[in-house]
Amino acid sequence: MAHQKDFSTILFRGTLGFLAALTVVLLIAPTAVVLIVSFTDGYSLKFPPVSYSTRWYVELWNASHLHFAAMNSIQVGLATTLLSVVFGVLASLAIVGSKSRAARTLDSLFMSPLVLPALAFGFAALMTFSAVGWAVSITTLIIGHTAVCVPYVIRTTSAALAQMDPALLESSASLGASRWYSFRFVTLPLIRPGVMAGAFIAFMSSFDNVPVSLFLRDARTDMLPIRMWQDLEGKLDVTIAALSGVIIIFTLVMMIVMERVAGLSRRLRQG
Amino acid sequence: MQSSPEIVSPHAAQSAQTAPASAFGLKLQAIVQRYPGATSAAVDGISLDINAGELVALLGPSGCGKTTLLRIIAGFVAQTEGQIIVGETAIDALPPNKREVGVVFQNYALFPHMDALENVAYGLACRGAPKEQQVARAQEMLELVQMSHLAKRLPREMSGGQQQRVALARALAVKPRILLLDEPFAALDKSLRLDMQIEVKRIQRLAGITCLMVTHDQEEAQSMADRVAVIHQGRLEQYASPNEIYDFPRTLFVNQFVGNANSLKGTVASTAENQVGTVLVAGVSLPARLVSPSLKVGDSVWVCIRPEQLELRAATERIEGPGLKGVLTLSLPQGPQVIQEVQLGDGAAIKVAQARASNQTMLSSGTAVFAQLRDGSFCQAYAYV
Repeated sequence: MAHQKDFSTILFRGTLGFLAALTVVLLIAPTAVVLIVSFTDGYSLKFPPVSYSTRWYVELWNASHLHFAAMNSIQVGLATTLLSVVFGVLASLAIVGSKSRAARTLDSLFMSPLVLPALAFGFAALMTFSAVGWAVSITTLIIGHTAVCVPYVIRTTSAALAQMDPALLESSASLGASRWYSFRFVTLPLIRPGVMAGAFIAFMSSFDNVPVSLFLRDARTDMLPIRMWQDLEGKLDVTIAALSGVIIIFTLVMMIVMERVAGLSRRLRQG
Repeated sequence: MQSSPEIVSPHAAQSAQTAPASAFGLKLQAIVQRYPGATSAAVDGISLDINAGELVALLGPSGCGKTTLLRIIAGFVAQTEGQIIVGETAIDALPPNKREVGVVFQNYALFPHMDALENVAYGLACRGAPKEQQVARAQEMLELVQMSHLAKRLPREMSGGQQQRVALARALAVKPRILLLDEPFAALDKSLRLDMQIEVKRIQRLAGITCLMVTHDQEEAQSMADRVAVIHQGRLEQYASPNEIYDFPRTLFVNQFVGNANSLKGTVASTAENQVGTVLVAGVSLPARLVSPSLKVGDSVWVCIRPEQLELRAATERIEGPGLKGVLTLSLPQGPQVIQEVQLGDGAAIKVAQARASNQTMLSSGTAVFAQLRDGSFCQAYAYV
């Protein structure tokens, strides 16, 4: 009996371990492949490379059209993050502070960009902007990106707010603090990690957004992910591998920083 | 600042400021709180008059409306009807941050991202007081609650008792007119509770502040409060000194909730002046205070006898005076006293408290006993409903 149990335990653990290992490999392998290929000495994206060099990183340094797209993407990303944080935090405060049905409805409404296909949203946004006579520009891009990024901030901020003891604000008020003072010196410091986690995800999701950018961009507002795809499609450019390498390293560093300051993974689980 | 109705000379105003902080009274006038959709009122017309510098306990079982009443006074909940007056001023229209009512919460609600000193200084900081003044006052308050040595600790690095001291210092630092304590000792270990009760009482006396404390613990209410307000189902049952509440409970609920009570069914046997009379319980006539008004001979009543009003004797002894016959079933030693359970002839069980003396021989279970009403003791009789 005990034997049998041991065997089934081993089998269970073994299967679970195998699946976990497989998942990790599947998740990490492509990233590793790109990183390795980016250091090739040749002109093709062949894996494994025959010889190694950093020439494509030098090439990247001089690729002004990529710099232009990257600057656009970073600009849009930062503006989107700022707007998402402002709107997301305000929306969370209203939603968490209210028990009304309207608030709960709004909560699901704000989450809809997460479920709604971004392609459909991008197309709808383009239609709307042309209907009101706005030409696509960096402004329309920022508006479009904000719509799909704000839910991330709402999620993490609401989770942080919901964890806050309501007695803290009552206590602050009874000590003579105005609502604004309480928000500034009690609420904000306590939800800051949640807001930062949301802001980080909002930035990252704006930075590599394709579907919305596809509809709302033009030559003047070239966005990095789309530029990368077009370059790769046309000429299998190894510079793109180097660019991917830079983005991967940047993301990893940011994730480590956010994990340190905001406990990112914990925030995401709560959200 | 105390608002004065008449214009006074600058000199007089100054002397009033340097005089020891005068305390404010608190008046609750017919407070009613109805929550939408609820069938009965959470607070049902409670009026209380609390003197300046007094410590009053709101005592009642959970859900009786005492916490709601506290939240109404603090301004966290707007009452449906009634008025709250601090000193001479109605504060109903004021938001919580303008009421000058300090609150110590059950879970202390210290700001988790601030150390003890910052927590205590918070009230002055949000009033825009200069930094040195904030720190000086906060240190003074931490001194008062004997927490100076832990000024740099975060709340999570403090024990429950330490957090409570800081919460108390924080509430008092802004010199509130009224201090509210919400179940202040409920979260503390029993061994720590008595120490903190003494401590809070000491600080309250020292600060000379009017204080309202919510509790469901009748011993706590009796030991700490100058007066106790017993609340049941949103209504004020009795408002009097702890002794009066204990010795002359005005309702059956108060009698049963405050202290222990043996409640037995009986009938009124005779009536006299000043509510005095006798009741018939289990065929025995006992002297009683007929508490409910207009009780007549023959009326059914609940007769309440405190365990310590009875004295246990072996049935074989020759005894004078009124008492109840029964059989001793259980003895529960409780430190200074022993609680003995006695089964009466009609099946009802009563408790008898006996002081424990070393030279005393204890009666054993199964002994036929006589629970004698002590000399000068009265039962309390309440209309049977």
